[in-house]
Amino acid sequence: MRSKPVEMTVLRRVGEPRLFESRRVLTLILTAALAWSLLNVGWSDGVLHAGGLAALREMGGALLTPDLSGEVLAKLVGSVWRTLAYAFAGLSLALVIGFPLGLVASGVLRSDGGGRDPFRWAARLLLAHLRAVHELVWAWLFVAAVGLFPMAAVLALALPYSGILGRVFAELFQDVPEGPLRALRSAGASETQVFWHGRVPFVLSDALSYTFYRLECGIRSATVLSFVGLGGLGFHIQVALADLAYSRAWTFILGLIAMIVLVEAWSSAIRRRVTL
Amino acid sequence: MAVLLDGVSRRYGETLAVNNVSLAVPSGQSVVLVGPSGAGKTTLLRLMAGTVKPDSGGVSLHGQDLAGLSPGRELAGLVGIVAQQYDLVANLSVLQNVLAGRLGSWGLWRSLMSLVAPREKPLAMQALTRVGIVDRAYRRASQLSGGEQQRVAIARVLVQDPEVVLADEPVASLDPARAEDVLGLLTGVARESGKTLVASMHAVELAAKHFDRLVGVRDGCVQFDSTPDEVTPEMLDSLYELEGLCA
Repeated sequence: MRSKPVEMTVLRRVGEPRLFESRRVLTLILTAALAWSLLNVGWSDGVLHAGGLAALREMGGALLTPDLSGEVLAKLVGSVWRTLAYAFAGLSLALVIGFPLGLVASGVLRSDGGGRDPFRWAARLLLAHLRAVHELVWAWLFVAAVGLFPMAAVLALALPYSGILGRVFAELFQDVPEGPLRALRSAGASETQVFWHGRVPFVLSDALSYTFYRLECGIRSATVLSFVGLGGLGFHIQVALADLAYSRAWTFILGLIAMIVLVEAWSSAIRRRVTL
Repeated sequence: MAVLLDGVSRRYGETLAVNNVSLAVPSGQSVVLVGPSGAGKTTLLRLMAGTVKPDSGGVSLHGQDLAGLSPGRELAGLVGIVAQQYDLVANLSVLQNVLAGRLGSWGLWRSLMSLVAPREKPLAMQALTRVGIVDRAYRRASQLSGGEQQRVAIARVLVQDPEVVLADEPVASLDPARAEDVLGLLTGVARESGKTLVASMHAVELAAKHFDRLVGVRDGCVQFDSTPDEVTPEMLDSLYELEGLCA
């Protein structure tokens, strides 16, 4: 290196931070920007909604007195069931589409890592397209195409979720450490055996807990999907809020929370048992 | 000869990692390659394992030329590996990790079934008893300490039952007390089952206590080759001193 003066000057420059790279100067600039923006807010006119506090108090009070009449509870059970059905069907379909796509996209099926494998790049492109569009947008599209049928909700959930699951699965498959796989090969295992005894066990528990997390997201998404008219919990929450019937709205929101908590309990019970 | 290297050289880019090495290890002997890091010990072991091919010269195990063997069942019957980082499948149970040593002998269907209902369990339990951790059989491999994980790797190679066992820095990741135990176990197991053992280590004194034969390696060449009690401090000094020449 001593014979190359060019590299020496580059090294010296890296050592000295320039003015805007210095942390203190940056902190000062950002703090000043924040102070300036706070001074420029018109605090008196319309930052806080005048009647908002009263409405908030009313909603909070309603939390203590959720509507537990038989009619509402019957609707709750029906809509919880429907929302769960959307979430489960959507996620199952997403797994069926996402797992194989993720596997191909990871490139682990090819001994060279699939650097130039056209199938791998096609799978990655497809996954990116699927998850680029939000489930709510898919729902509008499918409602426009097939009408207000449950299939529209299931497909709207399944498509973006398969894109997300596939992407995550692909990364999990790539992140498996090479050492243990080499050890299996040296014990005489074929590539298929290495896949099942090496990659799958490494990926399984993470993939499982991520899928359960996505199921949770799916329940919330299915709730929101019913705002576009597909029925379920969200529809009832929407109607109750429009009626200003906060007690009734809370019944359905508490139902939603209960569902999420139950799924969480179920998933951790299963995850604890997954050891081969 | 269990292991026969005949004038083997291997180059990585500009570096000559192994320079015209000939080495013969009779069946049942335990040999350790000692020397500074970068001496070529690991490359020598990889050449013996068939995972690296020599540029020139030949490697044979029990009379079989490795050049004609590709990784798989046949090679796994000849040579097994114990690595520094244990290389267990972290999420599988200890029992499944040990049984992985049988994968070369099992067909795909049998190995898949074994993930659900372990096959040839007595064999694995016997190996785990030998390495002293049979009570850990149903734990996840990742829950074990380093020393215990290396015992699992030894049990796996016992179940694989190759003619030659190669161990690359088998105790370098363990604390001294654990290293002593595990090394005693490894050489003991090899001795009583009549396996040929070739290991690499940089801790010479520890190595001298447990192996039949010490081979000093430096700059890709063999510097000395003798029994532990023949090794003199001068030989070690010249092996580890900073400037040196290949003989």
